[in-house]
Amino acid sequence: MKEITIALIGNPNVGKTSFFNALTGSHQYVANWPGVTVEKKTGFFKWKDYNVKVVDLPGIYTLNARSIDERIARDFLINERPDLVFNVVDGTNLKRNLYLTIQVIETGVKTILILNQMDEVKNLDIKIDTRELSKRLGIPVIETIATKSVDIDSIMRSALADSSRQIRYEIYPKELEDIFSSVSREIQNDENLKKYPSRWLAISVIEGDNFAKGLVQNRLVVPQEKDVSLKIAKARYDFIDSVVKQIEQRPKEIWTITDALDHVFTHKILGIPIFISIMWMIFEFTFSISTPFSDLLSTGFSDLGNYAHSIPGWAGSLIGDGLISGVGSVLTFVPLIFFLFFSMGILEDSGYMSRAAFLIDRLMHRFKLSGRAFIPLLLGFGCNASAIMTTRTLEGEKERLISILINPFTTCSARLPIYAVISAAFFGAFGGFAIFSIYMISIAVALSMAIIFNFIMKNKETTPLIIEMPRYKTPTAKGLAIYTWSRGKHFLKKAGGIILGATVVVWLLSNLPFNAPIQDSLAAQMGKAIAPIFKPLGFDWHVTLALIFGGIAKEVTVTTLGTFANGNLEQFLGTILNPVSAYALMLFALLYIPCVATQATMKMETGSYKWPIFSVVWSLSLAYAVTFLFEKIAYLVI
Amino acid sequence: MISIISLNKCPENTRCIIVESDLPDSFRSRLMGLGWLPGREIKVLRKAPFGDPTIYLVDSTEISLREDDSKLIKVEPVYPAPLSIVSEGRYIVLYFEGGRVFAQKINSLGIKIGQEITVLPHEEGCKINISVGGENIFIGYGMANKIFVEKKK
Repeated sequence: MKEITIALIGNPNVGKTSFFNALTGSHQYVANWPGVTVEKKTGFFKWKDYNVKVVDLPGIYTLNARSIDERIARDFLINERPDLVFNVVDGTNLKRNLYLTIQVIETGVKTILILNQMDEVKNLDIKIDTRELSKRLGIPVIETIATKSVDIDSIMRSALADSSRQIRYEIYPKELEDIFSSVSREIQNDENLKKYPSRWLAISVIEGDNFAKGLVQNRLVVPQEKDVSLKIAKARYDFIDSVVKQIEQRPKEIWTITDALDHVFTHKILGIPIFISIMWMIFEFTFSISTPFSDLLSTGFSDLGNYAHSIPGWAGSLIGDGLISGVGSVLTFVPLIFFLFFSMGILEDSGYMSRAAFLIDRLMHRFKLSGRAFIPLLLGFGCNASAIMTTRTLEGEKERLISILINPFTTCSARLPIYAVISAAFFGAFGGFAIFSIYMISIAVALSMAIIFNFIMKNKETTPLIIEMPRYKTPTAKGLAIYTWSRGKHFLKKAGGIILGATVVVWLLSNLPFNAPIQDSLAAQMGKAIAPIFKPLGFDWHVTLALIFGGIAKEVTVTTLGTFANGNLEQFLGTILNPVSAYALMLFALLYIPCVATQATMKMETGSYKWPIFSVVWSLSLAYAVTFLFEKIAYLVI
Repeated sequence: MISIISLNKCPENTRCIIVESDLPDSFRSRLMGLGWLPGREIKVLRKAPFGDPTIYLVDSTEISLREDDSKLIKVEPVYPAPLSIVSEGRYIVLYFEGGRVFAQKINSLGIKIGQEITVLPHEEGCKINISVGGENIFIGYGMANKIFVEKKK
């Protein structure tokens, strides 16, 4: 068996991850906006007697990287030296994509051009002479439609065929070439630098690329010329223009579906009302369609719980109160969470995300956030931990930190069961409205925090807004299924793991010492010891304890209350809360501490314990203050 | 005389050519990777509600830029260009971007398709001073955005 490593590199949103999935048979999350992949992902497949390792890299426009995700891609290419690079390009947009191709070829790595989205190329009536393209670039070119399927055999055969074809074309004018070769010779003669691809390093240093400059330090004398980076870029584009002119035929500008949709979706007057209605539709759809399923599950679990109680002894109680009433109270919301991800999948897969970012950029600007920062915020409604990862696309260090810190204030799907349980118990027909109001408060708080953090950190830099507008796509059933499952299964895993574990602990605490009434249990003693702190908020020891355990994972708030509830959670809640303190609990659950997984992600992304600790202290204080004030005012009014 | 203006001044549906940019290095190289180089053509596609940001098209890539950034990019208009962004000189009116009512309104001012007009010196940000058939008139920006002209040879 021979081992080879293949890196997938290309512009953002050209279908690298779809291609990766097709090669390796994995189900990585794909969506239709630039910057979905922010870390490298590895997969494997076997072909003949090869063990192939495939690395899917974040999308980049050039090798002159700035943001973290871009650096990951560049560093892998330069430092790890993969055996092969599959440069995935969007066939409908060759001109822009080939710029990176030229840079990749300059690194001297064996490159294969994967001409992807050929179905779109056909739809747009574009004709590409693949053979001629391959000739002009001097590398193999393979047409694919990665979202359908790929012919691994033919790809691997042409990739591994000995293509010692010399690259003969000239891109740069002679005066530039002369400088490149003299610098490149110096690099080859330098002990420390000769491990890098010399031509790439020479060109990059002359271009003034910071990373390349960092590598060579003061080891080289680099001729300084005015506007040389511009000349280099211009030479590349002139070359690309000449190639594309020769090999591509595209019809004169036609009015595409994307143009038509954009005319409406980004309309000056209609755009924002449409955006708001779409958000409301998603909210309504998620709730109304999932309610019958949730009700069914709820009845099922309550019957199951009654049955379990008939098991004599402590086992009946553990299964009935702990597992079924506790974990079951969260599993009831599986349909809700899956439908939420399903709706978000439609939003992400259709291409609307970039338009939404464009529409509300003006507003984000007012809150001193860039339009790019909108995407992590929106994804926060799914899961804060994974949303925080997507802040890697932001360039400014401070701006990125601010985006990380405000993210937990967007209410993630794990908090939804808390709101749903409380609303059902207290607000009846107004339940939907109560939950919607929490979402609105969530957005308001996140944006206000952005202003405050910007002020505290004296942040002036924001990433200039460059959002690429992808073509609209009809989300496919297969794509949506993969999306919903890959995100939703995380919830199920949590329910079977950390939530289950926490619930068993809670059950133990509330049943020890054995045969003691629950008021004298360990749990009660713990809760009562801390409860005075939460007394001003109107929370008794049950709620206090539920909130503390909820710090592990937000759903545990519900399972803990479920364990205490003796089978009927809604009725139980009625005995320990009133409508005002119930809404206060929703507010508190919205604002207080990020869950353990989110804290860990914060630590990983900021590289320091300082920020998760800051976030915990800050949000806890904020939650306390807001909830306290809310109750004071609410009781005054009522 | 070539008129060089900031990109943010270009109204929707106009084309222009990049002359130079005054952007910070990192941003400039990022735009270069997207095809934004001096000498290349930009099409102004759409402005967001409240006028900012704007979607631009270069090659076949649509990207959105904020006014803060686009005002640092200097461009020259491609004719036919809207009256609002051309410099002083003599022009021929080619067409109107607007409905019949708009055309009638413009006609009543004495501006017709195919007619020669002269753009006179005017201060930036003010109404545009033109001379039509020996008569001086002032035209607001909103209107001037919709009147497309070409240089008189």
